[in-house]
Amino acid sequence: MKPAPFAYESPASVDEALAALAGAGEEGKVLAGGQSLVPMLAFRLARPAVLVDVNGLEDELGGIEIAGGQVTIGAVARQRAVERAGLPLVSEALRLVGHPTIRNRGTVVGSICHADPAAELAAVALVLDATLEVRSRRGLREVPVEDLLLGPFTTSLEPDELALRLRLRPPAGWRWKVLEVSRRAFDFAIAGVVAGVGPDGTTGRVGVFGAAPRCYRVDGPVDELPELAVRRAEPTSDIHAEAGYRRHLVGVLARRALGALAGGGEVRA
Amino acid sequence: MRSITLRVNGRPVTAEVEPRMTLADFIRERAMLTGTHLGCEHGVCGACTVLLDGASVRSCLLFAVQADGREVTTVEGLARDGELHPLQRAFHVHHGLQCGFCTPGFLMALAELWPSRGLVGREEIEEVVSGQLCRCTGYAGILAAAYDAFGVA
Repeated sequence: MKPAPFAYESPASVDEALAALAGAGEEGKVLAGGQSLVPMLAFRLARPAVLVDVNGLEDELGGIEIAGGQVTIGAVARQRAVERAGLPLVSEALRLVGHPTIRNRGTVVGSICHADPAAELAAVALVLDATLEVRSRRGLREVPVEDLLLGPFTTSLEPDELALRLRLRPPAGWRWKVLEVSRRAFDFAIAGVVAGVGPDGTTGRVGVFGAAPRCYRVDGPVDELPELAVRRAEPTSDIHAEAGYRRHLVGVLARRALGALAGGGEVRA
Repeated sequence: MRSITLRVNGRPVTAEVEPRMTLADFIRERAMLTGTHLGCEHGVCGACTVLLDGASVRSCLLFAVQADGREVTTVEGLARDGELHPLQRAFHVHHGLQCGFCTPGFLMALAELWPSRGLVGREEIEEVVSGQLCRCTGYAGILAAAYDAFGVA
């Protein structure tokens, strides 16, 4: 339950971090909040030869900005800080992510890059048309989160790439609701949804987490969304729940969330 | 190996450490403060919770090198001049512990809220308590202690 030895790099700039990652080849790993990576190191599920700690890059990557209808979250902005920034949907979803102590260290960008199929934030990113600004010494690219998430804990990031910032594009006039079922408050979700209804009240989006190898999003008329969300589900069974129960939850939670948005009332999962 | 210096409960502690040494192990084996307990060593149980510059963290999920130059407060830093901290006294009065293994973590997680007492309600307390595991008390005594210490009904 102790991590295997690794070389530790604590770069003082993004350029230094990119050089460290390039130098590490396939053996490097970025350490941000560490709330998922360090347990994987402790279990030795991950054994990188080099850890590149980006926590010192607060000046370059610690920002949370709202401008022109776009929300930009830097790679080392803590979940607690984003939660307290009062952002629509994102702050509400963060209240369900981990425990307060975990959110003190965990980062929003780190959660997206970790690609946990049960991550609330990945589903939020999908419904808000998010893109990730990614850099390496080879260049800069803007990756839609839709193309980033490949499968469980697997992304399209290359070993030498560093995620710098997440850009969220909340559409104007939409209302949102996050619902999930978990064993304890703030625990990993067995399954959950991020539902949104547009200003016309008839079209919407649902992001789903915990019910497929990766988070996914469906768009369509509000009445059809629960069925569309269930059809896309590819749940698995584990100690917490059977696949059939997860699929059932997707439909129930989508209906409740959309119903709450239609009625304007509060509901509990 | 790296030479690092942390302030632990106001006292500078310098040591040569491997990068893989967790903050929890540094506290126990270099600062020689064994009040910080290690349960699961992967961030679930909360027994190792300490304050880093006033914010609660799982000390098993942080490497000691990451805390170089920073201020760490452990459960040994709560009592002053032989007087228990009000949170500790409340745990004593309300039987907020049985075996005591989880207690340092509960105290430090709640200690993060202490500067905001007066603004803290049941919801904030319950949110914090839900992040810590206790297998003895059933949490009733812990919650009673916390409500009392924070003065919430």
